[in-house]
Amino acid sequence: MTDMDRESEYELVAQLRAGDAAAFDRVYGEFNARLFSFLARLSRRRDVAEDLLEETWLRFVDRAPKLRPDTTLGPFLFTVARNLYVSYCRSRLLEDSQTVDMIGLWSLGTPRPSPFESTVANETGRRIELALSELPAPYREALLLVAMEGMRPAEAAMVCGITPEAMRQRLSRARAAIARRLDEQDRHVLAALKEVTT
Amino acid sequence: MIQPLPLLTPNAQRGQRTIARCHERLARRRKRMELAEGGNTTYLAVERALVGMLCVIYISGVALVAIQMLSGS
Repeated sequence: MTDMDRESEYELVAQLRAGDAAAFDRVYGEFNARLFSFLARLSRRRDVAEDLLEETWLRFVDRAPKLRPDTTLGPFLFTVARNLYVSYCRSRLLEDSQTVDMIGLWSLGTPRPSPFESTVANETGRRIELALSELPAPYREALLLVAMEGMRPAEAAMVCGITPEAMRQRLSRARAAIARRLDEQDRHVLAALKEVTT
Repeated sequence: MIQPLPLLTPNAQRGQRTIARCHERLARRRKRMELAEGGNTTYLAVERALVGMLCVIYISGVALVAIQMLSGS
């Protein structure tokens, strides 16, 4: 957890094992938007992400009594969410066949510093979002967990069920792939500008 | 690399429903746990009483045999 030391997390896990609703609310507040962002970017569909998010919390509650006292909640929750997404892909066979509609994923109503900063941030964000959405799912989830969630590669490897070494390789390839896509976008923009100015 | 991406906001109404469902499940579990704990306490008390009774019967039997042997000799 971001704002929580290990000691508080152990305490929270103990409360969750006892079925404490207040402890659940605290975990929900901390992770809900993060899990949704992860699922939405992974599935590239808001409706699917909403369904998977709900199922993630219900599974979490069902498994809470069996949590080990030293459970790290972040990796645990992201593992549940990812496994649900994998099950969803297997059952629906929809992976990589979705229409990309990143604008629909963009959050609205968040406070922004200034119109200029907001425009720049939005533009950068949209470009990265688009590049990210074009990556194959294994690269996408690796980047989302490590670069976005700030997990250590070993933790992300645990979530994805692979070895830390494989995760490091996957990350390196994912970074190269997203950089390539961003370069391609730049080239397209430059070509379009040239056409307009000549 | 992708740090500028903001957190996406899930549907708040649906979130409230999810929380309600989770609270319901937690409450059910707490109830089950309380019942199980209550059941365990009763079981333990009955078990102790039973073992105690058997011990008293056994020791009384041994004492009776010992008294009979002593009085017979």
